[in-house]
Amino acid sequence: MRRPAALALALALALSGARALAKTSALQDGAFSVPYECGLAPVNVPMLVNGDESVGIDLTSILHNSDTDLGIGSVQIVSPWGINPPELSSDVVVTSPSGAALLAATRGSGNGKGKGLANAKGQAKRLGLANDRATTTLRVLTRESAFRAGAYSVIVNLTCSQSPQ
Amino acid sequence: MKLLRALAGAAGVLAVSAAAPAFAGTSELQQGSFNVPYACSVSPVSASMTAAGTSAFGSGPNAFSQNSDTIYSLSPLTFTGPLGANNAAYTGAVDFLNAANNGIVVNSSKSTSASSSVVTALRNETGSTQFAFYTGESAFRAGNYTVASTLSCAQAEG
Repeated sequence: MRRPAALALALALALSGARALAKTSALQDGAFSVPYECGLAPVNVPMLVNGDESVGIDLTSILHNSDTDLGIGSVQIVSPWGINPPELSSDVVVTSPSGAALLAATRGSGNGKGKGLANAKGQAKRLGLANDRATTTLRVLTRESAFRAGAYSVIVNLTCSQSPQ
Repeated sequence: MKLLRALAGAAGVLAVSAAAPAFAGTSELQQGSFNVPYACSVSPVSASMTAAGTSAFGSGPNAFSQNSDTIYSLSPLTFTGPLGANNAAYTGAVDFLNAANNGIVVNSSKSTSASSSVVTALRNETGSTQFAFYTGESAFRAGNYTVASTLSCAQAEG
């Protein structure tokens, strides 16, 4: 009885082996995922003073690999007498290479209504994959007849984030 | 009785004469036979790829076997990505290599299969499948990408 049982086992193993070898085609696939990315080049532009106005213009590079929303997070004016003093106001405008306005924001002056940041244009959407360029125009105004002596700067926090799908 | 003995004796003579030819030779062929059918196998491979710039690469081990001369083939490649399936911007290759890292068959076409030359002899080894994915754009868009092909083996004719 042992020999027939061993033969049956050998046959079963052989058959199972034959089934394993029967796979003559198999899917080959490779996969990867690319995360969302955007990048903005910092702008550090000298501003020219003309009376009660100072203006600086520079190009900004905007890299993105998917639909992207641009925004202005904050506008801050730094002057000899402090940050965001009531004597000063600032306008920031971001335009596309074609000249179309993408974003605009104002840092208001005064202590009451109008002080603070206002996003006039909200967010601007840039589509798909691109290495966009945009022009950033910075303008600072003083309520006085001229700028007082000292160092001034306007700091704009330009933001980019993936557009909701 | 005499008649019966005579018949019995005759039968014995006949029996001896009839059995004698079976033992007449001093050697005879003893033969067993069996048949081994052709068989081959390849492994499914699912590789993780790494993207850098406009290219992505990856590879995975592929255990394969054959017991006779074999042809391997790779079906047309299919691509998926944010631009849609098989977008014109997507190109790449799937390369099946043996254990010595020598290419057996490679396909880079979205429309046609590619076949190897005859791979000879008995083999049971672990090679690899390598994947390449390229985008014609300046960079990969955010999203999920795949490149796929079906690897098949079959007995070489002749």
